[in-house]
Amino acid sequence: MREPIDRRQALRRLGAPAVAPLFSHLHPALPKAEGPWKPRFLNESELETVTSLAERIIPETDTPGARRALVHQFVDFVLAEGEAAARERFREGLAWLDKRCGSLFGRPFARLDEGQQDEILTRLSSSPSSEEPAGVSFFGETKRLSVDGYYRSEAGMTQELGFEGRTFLAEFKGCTHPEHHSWKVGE
Amino acid sequence: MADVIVVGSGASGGMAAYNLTQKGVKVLLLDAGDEFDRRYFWTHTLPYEADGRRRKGDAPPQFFLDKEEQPYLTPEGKPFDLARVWGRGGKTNVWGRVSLRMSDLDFTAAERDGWGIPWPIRYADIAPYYDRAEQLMGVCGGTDDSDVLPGSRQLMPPPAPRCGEVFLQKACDTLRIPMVAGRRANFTRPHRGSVPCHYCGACGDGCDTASFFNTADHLIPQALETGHLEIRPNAVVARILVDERGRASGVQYFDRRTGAERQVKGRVVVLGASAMDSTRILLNSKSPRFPNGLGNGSDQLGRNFCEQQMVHVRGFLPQLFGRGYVNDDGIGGEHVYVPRFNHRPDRPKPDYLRGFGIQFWNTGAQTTGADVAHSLPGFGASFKAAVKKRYPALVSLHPFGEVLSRAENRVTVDESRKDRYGVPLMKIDVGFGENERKMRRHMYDTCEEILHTLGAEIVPFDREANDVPGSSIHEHATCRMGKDPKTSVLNAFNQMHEVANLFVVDGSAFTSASEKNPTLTIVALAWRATDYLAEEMRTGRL
Repeated sequence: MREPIDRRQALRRLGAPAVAPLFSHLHPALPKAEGPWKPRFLNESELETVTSLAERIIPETDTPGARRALVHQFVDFVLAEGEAAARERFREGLAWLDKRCGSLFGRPFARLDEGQQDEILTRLSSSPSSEEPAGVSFFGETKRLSVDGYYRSEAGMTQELGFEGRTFLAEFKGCTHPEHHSWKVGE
Repeated sequence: MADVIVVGSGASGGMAAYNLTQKGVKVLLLDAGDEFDRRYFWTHTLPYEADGRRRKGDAPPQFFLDKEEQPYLTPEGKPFDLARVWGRGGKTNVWGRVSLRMSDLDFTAAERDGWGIPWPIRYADIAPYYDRAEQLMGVCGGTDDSDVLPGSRQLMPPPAPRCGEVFLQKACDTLRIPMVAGRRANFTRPHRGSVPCHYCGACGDGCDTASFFNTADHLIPQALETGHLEIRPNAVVARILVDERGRASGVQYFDRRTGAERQVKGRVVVLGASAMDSTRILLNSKSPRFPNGLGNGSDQLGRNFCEQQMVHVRGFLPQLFGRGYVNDDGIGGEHVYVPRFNHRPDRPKPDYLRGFGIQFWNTGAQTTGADVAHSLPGFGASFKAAVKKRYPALVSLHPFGEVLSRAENRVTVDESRKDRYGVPLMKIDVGFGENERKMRRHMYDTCEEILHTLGAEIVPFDREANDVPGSSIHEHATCRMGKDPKTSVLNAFNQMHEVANLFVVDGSAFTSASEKNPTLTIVALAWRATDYLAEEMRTGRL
């Protein structure tokens, strides 16, 4: 694993927040946000880039992709709540990406066609990558956030992966597959 | 004036308060926090619901203490990750619930390999308390019995293994690695007025039906019912007060809400504030008679830190590729356990001391797909398909190995750095050594062997990686028990050699860590220590 596994997070199991605990005391009734969603950190153009990046990382197939799972909203939230330094690094990464796309294709990332978008992402995700380390680590961070946002979303959990857990069961049956029990090492 | 002041309400302090009040002893319990309100637990809040609630400014109870509220120091380049829960029940609110008996293999380790000091007790001394603790705590498990993991007649039935665990069992059988049912304090039967576990797997967010053992639900209310317990919440203990005869006379604490200083008097003090905090309190309890901290004439207080180290290896079982979702939640955490086996006569003699057991945290679809997706390369539709294919096929191996106790791995207090109450901060100076490095190699090798036997796809990992010390959340031995007052702080009943009316009942009292999760042993030792204490009080010796 590239990321260290935190036992505290592991103990939380499902529902482990991707963001650090945010509030120091119990505030079950803080004022609720009102009105349509608005980004708290990303500006309009950055939001567009993040939305298309996340969608190329986890595209719509027979199930929703990152865009319909509102991954961009998750990314904005995590960045807004996170450390200022990480936020600024992410912003610099977005600028790096558009500059790089400008020199490769003459347009910023969000204005590329999907084939060109995939090309730059292939360059960034191949190992080893010939792209600058700043760009490679930006891609890693974007992928990490997109994955957290998508596979924690209702679309990602239920429509894509069919999750039905974290519920009340009267009994836990365990493995009920005869073919698993009869399987032998070496088969 | 209380008969006994107990500091802390977790596994050790909770048990002390419970046992003493059952015997009619008047107890004042000082707790650094307050109750966690079950109505606000997010036990069944799905990740996307949780994200939505967070975005609206809502939050679940914050169990873990904010490091900014109560900092600790570490030397440059030697990080330590200290997890603390200040509030009713302490870490038992969110603990991993693994409940393993230690054996004479652990209690006699120092005599056999010469490392560290001997434990002052043997398995026979603690076995009756293991029986009682398992009954009280509602531990489930199997019928296995070995030199590593002594058997028990007290256990509730274990949950059935998950698909991935069925395969892991086959690999272990082939490799002659022992694998037994896990032992966990999840109630698989109705217990102590609670309904059984409902298999949602979300124990780490606090249980909404109190179906696993925690002191806030299963010891403290019963202690309150006796009428002998008074709880003072938000009491952050700074020092133990000492009288002119050198006996503990009370406790100085600060009110966490107002910062006001308070002092309370008692005949006896029982410390169960968790290993690091009990040690901090004792080191800060300096007086002309005890210039280096209370009961520290041996210079052993704060030294000899030990814990467990873990490694983390994950793989995907091709046998389970693409099979679709199965509810693998179970009792949260693994249903199986590999007890230590490196000492067995049919095994090559290890090039390191002590041993490790293996836990398996998440198997199959217990997690969100994010855990799987983070370990796969690439992007796009093929990436998405790869995640889906492997989602039900995850197995994760987490060996827990004993970290040796070393004098130089220690806790001190820094008089020049103060907390918000003006009390010196503790400094934790801990590092792993060569024995740990060699053991980790064996841990990684064993994980690979098990996964190779199943033809598993192994998630690439860094063999040199180790967790930051403290990550196991099993700190020990900074206030160790022993027979010899020159080399230990406490006697065999957790009673301070130098201060007869002071007991330390948390994990700091352990002489060595073993590879086993400590809570069951902490509860058993605290029970035994307070039986002894109550008897000493009854006969007038204390």
